[in-house]
Amino acid sequence: MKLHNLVLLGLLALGGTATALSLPGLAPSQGEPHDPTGELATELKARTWFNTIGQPPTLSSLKGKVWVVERWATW
Amino acid sequence: MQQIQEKYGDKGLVVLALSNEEDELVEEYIQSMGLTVRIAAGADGGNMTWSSIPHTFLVGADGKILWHGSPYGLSNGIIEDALKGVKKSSNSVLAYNSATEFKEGAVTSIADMARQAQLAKSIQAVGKLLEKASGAEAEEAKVLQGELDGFVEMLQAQAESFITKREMVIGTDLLAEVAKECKGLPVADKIAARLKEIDDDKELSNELAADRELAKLREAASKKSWKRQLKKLEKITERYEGTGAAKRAAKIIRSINAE
Repeated sequence: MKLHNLVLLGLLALGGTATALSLPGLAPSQGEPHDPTGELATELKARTWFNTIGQPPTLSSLKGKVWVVERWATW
Repeated sequence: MQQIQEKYGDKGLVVLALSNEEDELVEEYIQSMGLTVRIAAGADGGNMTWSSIPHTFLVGADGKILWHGSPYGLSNGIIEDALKGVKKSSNSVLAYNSATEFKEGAVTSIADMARQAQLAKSIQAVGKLLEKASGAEAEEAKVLQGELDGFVEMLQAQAESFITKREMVIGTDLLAEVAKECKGLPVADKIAARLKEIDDDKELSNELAADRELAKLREAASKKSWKRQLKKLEKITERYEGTGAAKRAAKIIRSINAE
């Protein structure tokens, strides 16, 4: 079983919900998460893009466009 | 995300979903759900990272993060405010945004044409400009010409990659679109020959026919549901046994039955 499934099962067993779960890899090291509102978005990095034809999404290819990013998981 | 893409995609909004999971897991999910938004696996969102998921970020045309929060909090009003006054740019797969900051007027104009997906026109224009340009203008024109040639090659490589994975409709449609746009350029003849080769090849043409049927079901499923396409999916698995589309149809059936 993959790590995130174990995390999910553990949290559900503790009474958590599947709508918003903390992942070890995404959690900041200390205190509250940093609020990036107003900052320039930094470059997106990904191992693989699906449903993507043409230029992969980069700051340069998204220049002048409004875009939405959802941090997401399959579970 | 899928609904936002469908509602605002033609108004210029780009929707990206980032997962830090394994490729196989993400790909299987995309196929079983029939998702069409751009999705990344093994992703690092830079400063668009939060302590919980799902979490959504909205980025304005100036590149600044305008809003972030739960995806359920991203209202139509917030999106429409962000889109107000933004010059609509092409979402065509043939649009090319150069990362190079060109300074020469003529080269900048051609780069703008490429950004608006006028690929053939921009390739022809940069070729003509190179015939008469000199100095800095010629240098910049050479850079842009190299980028545009590389982009066309990348599109063909992407199409071939889909064909290799037996995602025939996307692959052949992309080749056809590039050929149509580049009509009159040598690359169009090369692509036309490749498309004929696919048509003449018994195995590849069968793969294409199977994938076309699956694509129709995918479209129907986006309006209704995959469950309603179950019988037709089963027909694909029987009629086109062994094809990539039949394997994908079987996966969707397993996913429906598992629900």
